[in-house]
Amino acid sequence: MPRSLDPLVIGRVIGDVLDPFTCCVSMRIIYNNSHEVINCCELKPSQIINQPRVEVGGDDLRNCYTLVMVDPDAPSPGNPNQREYLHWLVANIPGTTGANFGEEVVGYESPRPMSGIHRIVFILFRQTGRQTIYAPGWRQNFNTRDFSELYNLGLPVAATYFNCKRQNVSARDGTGRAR
Amino acid sequence: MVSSREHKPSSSSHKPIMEDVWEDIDIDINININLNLTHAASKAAKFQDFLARPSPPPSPLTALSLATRSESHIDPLAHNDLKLALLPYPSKAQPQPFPNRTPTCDSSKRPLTCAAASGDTRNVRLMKNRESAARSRARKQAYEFELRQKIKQLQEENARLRRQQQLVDEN
Repeated sequence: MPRSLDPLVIGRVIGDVLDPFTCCVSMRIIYNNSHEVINCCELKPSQIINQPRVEVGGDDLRNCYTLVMVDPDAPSPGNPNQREYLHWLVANIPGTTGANFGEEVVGYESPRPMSGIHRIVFILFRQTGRQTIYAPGWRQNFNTRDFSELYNLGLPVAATYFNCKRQNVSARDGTGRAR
Repeated sequence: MVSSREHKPSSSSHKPIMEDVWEDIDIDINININLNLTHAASKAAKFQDFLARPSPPPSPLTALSLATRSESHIDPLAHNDLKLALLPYPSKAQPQPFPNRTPTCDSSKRPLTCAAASGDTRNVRLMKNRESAARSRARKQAYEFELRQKIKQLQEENARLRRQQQLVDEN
């Protein structure tokens, strides 16, 4: 896939949140056993209330992975002064298993975008070994790049994102954007 | 700040004794202190009285108090963001509990302060609209590409499963 056509690049996830990387581990994210996240699909807040099932690929149970879920468009895409808002952080996920086998460092908080269409990004890092990862003091203004540098996680091994907007939509404009 | 007077209009011509020197310093300190404190401080107050006072009056705006005041304004307990286990997390991007509240400005492309001129507001709005249109086009393009990828992937899987099924049927 040419770099310029990668949905992560077009959707500016690479740029706003991540640096260019090569995807080398599979990651599947499924909400409610029915909605699998594919890049740039749209999910409603009502569909993402509970944490999804996350299936991590790789080929070795001994490898540990960290999953980060952030919203780079908080509180609104036009004015993202809380970029990035941390929704979920799970560490020490054994390879070939799922997020429920890891240690939840920051609990899952369901995204409730108030204004605009938000990208919700999942990022998977491979850890060098089993390590302790501490929760940040607060969810907003999280920085995935800094986080990766702090814990020596390197570039991501997988990433995906979906779009989410406010559920109640006014009749006039279809975006639900607060005026 | 504390200066001893050069020309002392003293009636006496004797050598300055300790008390005189202290009195000079006393007066100078009083002058400087009174310039900084409120007028509630008695003008005739001596240094000893100043020390004897329990605590300085609260209001005056010296440079020091301005600095401490702005820091104490941000009360970390007041804002209702989720507080998790407080462990050291030295992030380069310093978390800002209170984001800058510039009412109508988009901080990414127009870093100017909000001008009252309607022209500027219109420009800001147009810029925001342009950005949101660009985001919308990017979304559309990304989704379309992703769908095509998915189609290809599903077709391949379908073909593979059909072949597998054929093999099973033959046996």
